[in-house]
Amino acid sequence: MPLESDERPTTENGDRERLSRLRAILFGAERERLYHLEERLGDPTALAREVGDVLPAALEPRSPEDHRIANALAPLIEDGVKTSVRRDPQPLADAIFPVIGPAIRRAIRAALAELVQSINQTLDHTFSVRGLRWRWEAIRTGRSFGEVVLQHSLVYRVEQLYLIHRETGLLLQHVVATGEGDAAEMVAGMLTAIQDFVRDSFKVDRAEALETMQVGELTVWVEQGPAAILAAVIRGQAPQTLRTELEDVVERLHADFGPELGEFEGNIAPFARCRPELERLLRAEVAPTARSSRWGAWAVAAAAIILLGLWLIPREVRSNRWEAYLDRLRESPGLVVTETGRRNGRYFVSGLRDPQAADPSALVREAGLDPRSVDGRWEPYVSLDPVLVAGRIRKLLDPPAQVDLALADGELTLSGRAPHEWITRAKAMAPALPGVTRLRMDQLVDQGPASLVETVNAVEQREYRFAVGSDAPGESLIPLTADLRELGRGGRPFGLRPLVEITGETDDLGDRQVNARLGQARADRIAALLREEGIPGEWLTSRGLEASESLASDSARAQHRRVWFRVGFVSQLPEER
Amino acid sequence: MTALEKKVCMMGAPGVGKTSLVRRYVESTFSDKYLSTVGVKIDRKVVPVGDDTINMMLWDLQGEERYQWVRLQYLRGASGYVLVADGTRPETLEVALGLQENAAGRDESLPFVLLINKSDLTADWSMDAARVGELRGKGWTVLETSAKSGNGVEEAFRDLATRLL
Repeated sequence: MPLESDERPTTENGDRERLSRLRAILFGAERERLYHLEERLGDPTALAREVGDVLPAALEPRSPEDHRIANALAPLIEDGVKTSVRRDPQPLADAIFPVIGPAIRRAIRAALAELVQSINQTLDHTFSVRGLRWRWEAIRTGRSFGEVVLQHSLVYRVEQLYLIHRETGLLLQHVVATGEGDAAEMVAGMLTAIQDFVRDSFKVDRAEALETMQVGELTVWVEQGPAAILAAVIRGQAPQTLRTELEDVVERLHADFGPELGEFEGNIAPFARCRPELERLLRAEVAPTARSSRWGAWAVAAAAIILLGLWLIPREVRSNRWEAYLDRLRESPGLVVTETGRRNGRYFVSGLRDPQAADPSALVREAGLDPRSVDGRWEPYVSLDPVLVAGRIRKLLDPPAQVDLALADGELTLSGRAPHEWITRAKAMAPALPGVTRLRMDQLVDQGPASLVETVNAVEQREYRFAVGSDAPGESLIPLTADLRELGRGGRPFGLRPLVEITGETDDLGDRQVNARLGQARADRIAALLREEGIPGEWLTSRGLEASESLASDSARAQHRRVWFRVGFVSQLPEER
Repeated sequence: MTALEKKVCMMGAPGVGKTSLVRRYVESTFSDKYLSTVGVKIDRKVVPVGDDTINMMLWDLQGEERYQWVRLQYLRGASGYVLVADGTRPETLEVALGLQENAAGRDESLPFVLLINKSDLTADWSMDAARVGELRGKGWTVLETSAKSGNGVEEAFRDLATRLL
């Protein structure tokens, strides 16, 4: 703007103009800037652009210093998030999905592990005396049984803790419960190497890690932090809550040693500060001495066994006796057991019984059972058991004492001596007896009819004595002859004739062969004499019998120089009659 | 006096004598079996440097070539490394150079030493001196060592330890 003008104005006007001109000269540039500033401040779009340019720069240096910006922004962000979710939850869901998946998985895994452990321990302790005591404690204290079990039963010891720098695998701190951990630095390195190994081998994400290693009783729990790893070597079963504590410690260590971990250059000295915290984790949980409860369990078991025994043993005894009784019945000839059992608390047995068989109710008493507790039902039948058949025959035939009865394969053999009438009856009955198919009587001597018994006895009691070396009887044979005639007469009505066996004996002196001949000679002589008296020769047989024993005295010898008789009867052939 | 813990990896082609090189000079807990199972074995070598002590945790990485790429994962966090080649087999030097290239790809500033082992087998020595000279010219520390005589081993660890500080 020019300072001078050709036209001269009025003084007042001229002053104002000059002043305005002067102002323009002095402040023109400032005025123009002010004008632009007003324009910028007055235009919201331009202003927004300006603030947007400086806002990040304004926020950045403030955040570490205080939380005022965060506090100021929080409600806005909260509102913003709420609004966004209300409008369309999908974008936000998409955004947080990668974060929330692993978090949920981890939470679920931890919860499940805790649950499974709790269930296992619950099962372990449910049926013990200790378990019952803990159940009572749970009721008393109003806690869950699982909690009480957890509290009591865990036996574990955290034996070592390794705090390891994650990036280098170098050992930052190591604490041991007892003694010295050997080569801890190398172990730490290997632990890290194994982590890497597993991650590389199974292609898992860098954030994932081996959390548990188990070898027999030893478990290594590995808790991963961003910069450090805490590995706990545990003997026994540690509760899942310890895992949570390890997590807490790792988090706290990261908070306390953030710079040291971040800028770790191999100097482990600062980490000595965390020893107390680690040592606190070297815990041993000792189970209550199981002694008393074990005794209790034994006592309960013993009582149970005794009670069971008191109930079982009499049963067992009764049962054994009953079985023994049944065995007896089954073994007894003539008893056939068809059904046994227990009915309404009583034993019962039914079957077949031969009248000859043992009495079952007598056997009940013999077996030691109460006869009132046993019901027996027996149908009569006829048994062909040889013992019973023989018994039945004996009962029916009623043999005289001198008769022997033998039964083999259905053949009944009668031997000995019997009166003629008995023999006749036996002969008639035997074939009709059950179990007898044949009858043998060739060993049975017929003693003749009852009417002749006295005469037979008289003959058999008669003896004739002889002088030494002689075959001539010292007595008359007439009375004997009379008796024999009587026997002949008496037998005839029965179709019998006597058969008299004449036995000649000697003393023990002299030659045995000579004596044998002498005995025979004495018998023959008597037979000859009898024939001379008219006794039929077929009635007589003779034999010699030498004295077998050495005789003590002459009188004894004299008694053995003799002839004696045995009488039997045989059927008389028709022509002999 | 301070004690520093450092992770150091040992790498090299199979059969270069990496394991036997350190066996007599380190504190060992794990058997060589770990090398083939886990692919790594960790030993400790304590090296005094002036007033300080360097506690080197030596990660002996399995030599098998086809697994080297996996084992390189173990380099993470290492403060330095030891390359080992066999003086009687020039091809092992190439493997060592390849490994160095890989390691440098991860972190170029990592200090390392190159050991050319089996210096006792002079008759079979077939290392190209010019090549070695070239490496030394690049500023590499190249040492000839013998696991048998122990020649150069301690020096190698000391040299590396100094550069880890």
